[in-house]
Amino acid sequence: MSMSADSPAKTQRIPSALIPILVVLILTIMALLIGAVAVAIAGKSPLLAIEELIRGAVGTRNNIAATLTRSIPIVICGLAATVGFKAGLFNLGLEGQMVVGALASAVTANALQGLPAIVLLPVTILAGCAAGALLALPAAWWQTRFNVPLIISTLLLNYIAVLFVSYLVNNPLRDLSGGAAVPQTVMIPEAIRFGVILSGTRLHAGIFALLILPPLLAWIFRRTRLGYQLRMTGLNPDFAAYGGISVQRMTLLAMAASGALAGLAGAVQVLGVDFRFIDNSLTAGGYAWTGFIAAILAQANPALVVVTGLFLAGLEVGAAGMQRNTQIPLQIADIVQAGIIFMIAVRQRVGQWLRHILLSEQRS
Amino acid sequence: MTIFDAALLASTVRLFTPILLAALGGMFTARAGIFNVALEGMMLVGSFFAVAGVFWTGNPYLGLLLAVAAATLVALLFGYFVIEIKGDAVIIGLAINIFALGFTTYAMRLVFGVTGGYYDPSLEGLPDISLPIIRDIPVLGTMFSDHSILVYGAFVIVVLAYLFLFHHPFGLHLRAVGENPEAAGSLGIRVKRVQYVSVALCGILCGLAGAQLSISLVTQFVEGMTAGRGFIALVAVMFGQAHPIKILGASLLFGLAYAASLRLQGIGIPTQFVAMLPYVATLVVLIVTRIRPQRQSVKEQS
Repeated sequence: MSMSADSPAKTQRIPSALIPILVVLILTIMALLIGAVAVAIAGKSPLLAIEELIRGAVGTRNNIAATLTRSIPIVICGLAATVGFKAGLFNLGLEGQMVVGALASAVTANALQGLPAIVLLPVTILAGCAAGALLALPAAWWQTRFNVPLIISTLLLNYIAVLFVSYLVNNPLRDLSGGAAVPQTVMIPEAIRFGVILSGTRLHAGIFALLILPPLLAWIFRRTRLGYQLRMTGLNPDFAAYGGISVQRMTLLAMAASGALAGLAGAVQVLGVDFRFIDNSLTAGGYAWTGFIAAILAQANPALVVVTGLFLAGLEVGAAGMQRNTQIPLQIADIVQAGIIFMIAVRQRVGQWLRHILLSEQRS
Repeated sequence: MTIFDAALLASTVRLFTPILLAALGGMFTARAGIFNVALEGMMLVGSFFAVAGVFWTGNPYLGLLLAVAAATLVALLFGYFVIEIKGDAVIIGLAINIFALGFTTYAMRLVFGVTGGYYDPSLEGLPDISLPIIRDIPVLGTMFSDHSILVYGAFVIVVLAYLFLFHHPFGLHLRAVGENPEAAGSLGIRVKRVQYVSVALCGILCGLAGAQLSISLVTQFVEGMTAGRGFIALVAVMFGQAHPIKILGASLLFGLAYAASLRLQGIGIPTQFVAMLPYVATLVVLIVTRIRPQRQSVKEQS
């Protein structure tokens, strides 16, 4: 394919700006095809699976609400990963940061429950953010100071954090009053719980974070000095350092912000869904990893993270519905998600190919 | 009760084998200049197909073979996207891990009809082999006898890997490709072929590592049972500077952490803290040794 020889077409009916979007669409369809093959291997009908998947995700008012509710922690985690990506960092510790954030917010809400709700709510949220940031910071420091690869340290910290939090909720922080089989904390005060915004469903006020956070992040990245420095660090650390930017400071800042957002995702889940910290409820949900994939799929664009996060949440909720109705395992969603990342890796090739086809069609 | 005795060392030898085998696999890709975070996923696929192979054939050695074949296929998939498509090795590696976790859980439901974990007492694991003379030596006998073929095999592979890497033309090519692919290519070394072989060797070794986990240490498959061992093995590669003998030492250290973690259960320390031990030990090693990552992905070099 000799792309370079193409002369720019004068009468482009399809603007080249559309090509990236077309590429993402094609890749997503190809990833879904991978899932369809996996369904076919299981001896089930892929068409039925897709029908059930779509019905499960958006078929009824309740299902739409479930998809939206699930997308909240996924998108916030996706934004957390995005902040890392912008600074050129792979924060694989989102899960641990989310879990410590959730526990910290539940504990804070219960410890300070005498406070008026207007004070207690922000304090609870901040506690979650602070805990997430505190877990992320050592990894950043180790990378800048000792050359410890962040990608490995953050991953190892996940296991340590999840085990530590599990110890706390199994022992000193366990709610022994209800006799529940699952280790969990006491419920947080009713006054600060997020209200349901769609009656009869569990869709809570946390959904507004999806409207507030992406523009805020986009503004920081594009319009502020700090955002510029972060992006420069991510694009070329050597050049950034040459320009007087402290790469160490940027790494610490980006990881703190990323960890804080992951902690926020945990706090929002406690405030809006569980109303307490429940052992394993966040890790079993897999929100942090799905958020990470949403960020990769969105190419670290905060506004797009909302779109990809919603799509992946729908895929997972739909897959759960599909499993109920067809006995096809819901892990098909994970296979499709991995397929999407593979497809992203080939996107440049597909882009070349698409441009080639479109341009040659227009010429003829 | 003494903590440190021959039984602990025997347990160390048993538990360090998966780390060692995966780390030797990671060594080959590291030497070819590929930063490989996919060890975890390759091992997990190996673990699953080892159990599935025993389930289908009733023969643990056929299970071992299937584990190696499946893990090698996954490794070649990783290789295709990194070497051919020139995708970011970290992102592709993470995709492999996510795929492995999803696929094995999916396949567990299809093949065994269960979720979470599959255990059947009639499943036959790899038999322990008793070494004729060594078993009668007091401490060494407890440590080094009555292990699966994979434990002995791992020690043999260390020696073979050493000879292969430093005393075989292909090892020279491999190291040349890792250090400077352009220069290696200009000397007539087929760079992509060398990289594919390194990835395939990595898959084979990760398949063995996964089998040691699922049909030797125990005979069962549990969702995500590798639990970070691939990353601990990656640290062993870096700590061992991608040298087989040094990797052996690094893996022994992490194996000791796993053995101590097992031993400390039930003496009053909360299980969560005991379970943290291997991860904490790995982090401490990373920080104390201030090792530099060998982060030269194929993409960056070409």
